[in-house]
Amino acid sequence: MTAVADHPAARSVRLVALWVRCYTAGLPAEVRAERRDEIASDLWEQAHDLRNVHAGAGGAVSAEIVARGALGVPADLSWRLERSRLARMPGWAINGTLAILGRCERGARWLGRRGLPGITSSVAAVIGLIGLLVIVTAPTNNSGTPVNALLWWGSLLLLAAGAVALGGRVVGSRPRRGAALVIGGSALFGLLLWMTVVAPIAALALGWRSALRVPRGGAGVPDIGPGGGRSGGRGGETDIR
Amino acid sequence: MRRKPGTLLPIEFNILAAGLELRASGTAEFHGYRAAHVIREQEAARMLTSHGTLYKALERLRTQGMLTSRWEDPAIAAEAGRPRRRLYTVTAAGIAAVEAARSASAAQSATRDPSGLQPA
Repeated sequence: MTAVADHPAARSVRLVALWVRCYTAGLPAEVRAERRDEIASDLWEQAHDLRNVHAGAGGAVSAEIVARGALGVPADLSWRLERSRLARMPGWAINGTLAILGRCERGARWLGRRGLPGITSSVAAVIGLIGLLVIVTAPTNNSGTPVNALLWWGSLLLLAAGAVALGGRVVGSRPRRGAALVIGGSALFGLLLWMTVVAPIAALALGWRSALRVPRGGAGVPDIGPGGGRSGGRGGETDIR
Repeated sequence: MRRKPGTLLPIEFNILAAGLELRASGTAEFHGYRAAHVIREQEAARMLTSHGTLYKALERLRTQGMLTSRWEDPAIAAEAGRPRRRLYTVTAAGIAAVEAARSASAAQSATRDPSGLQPA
């Protein structure tokens, strides 16, 4: 088999090939080899086709190969399950799992028709929804504060990340909705990072504002009070109006 | 997945239709990636059908006798500097299944629209 080591998407090809090796492990040698060879051929064709389409854009090629492989995971698993002789697994469990995988497969096909933008928007929306769901359902004590603060803040982070990512994706087609999501998500990030980011930025902004109040002539240092803040006395305040 | 015997899933119909389209254009045999390419054009999808969905459906069609397959001669693949391909051909049973699916779809459309007028 010809190697694709020099290809910009070589890592993606190897990743998908590794997944194929994983889910075909333990199958009869002939079945295993046929599946691996067939997908190796497909990956080679896709990598070489994409190289011509996206000349120089290795990232786009890699993302498309990985996304195509990832969307096929439910089908791969159901294919594997149908071939497995899971004697310990009851029939209803196999049928139930296959039914769930079938639904996942249909969802994956729906996503695949929308391409990479659709996939990223959907993933962002799911992340945000998970965050929202955990926040809404998180148990609280009598005073209304969450019992598990780490879980609550983590969920808020998910919600913020989902909102920003989804907003960034849709802002081109729906500017108002996209901007609202980005601003909302950013505000949540601001809330989350209050002590580590917002406070130093606010201090810098106040410091800059104070600096602007220094007379143009550079008469000296503005009158700073003992606490580090601006002196309450009028004499210390030099306005540049 | 349970379904009526003789009926095709959308992906199976798409594969057979892609195979017939390629045959009409002079390519009697096709490989999986080529079929995925034609399906993407037919459906105006942004991405190719995933490996899992595509090869699972190809195997099902082969088992049902709607496709036959053979492995390409390794010497040809080596000469072209690529892995060998598995080449598929649509059988008479496959052609019949596609025609039946198209007839059923047309009959269903006529039932929905008794005037027999096709939307523009």
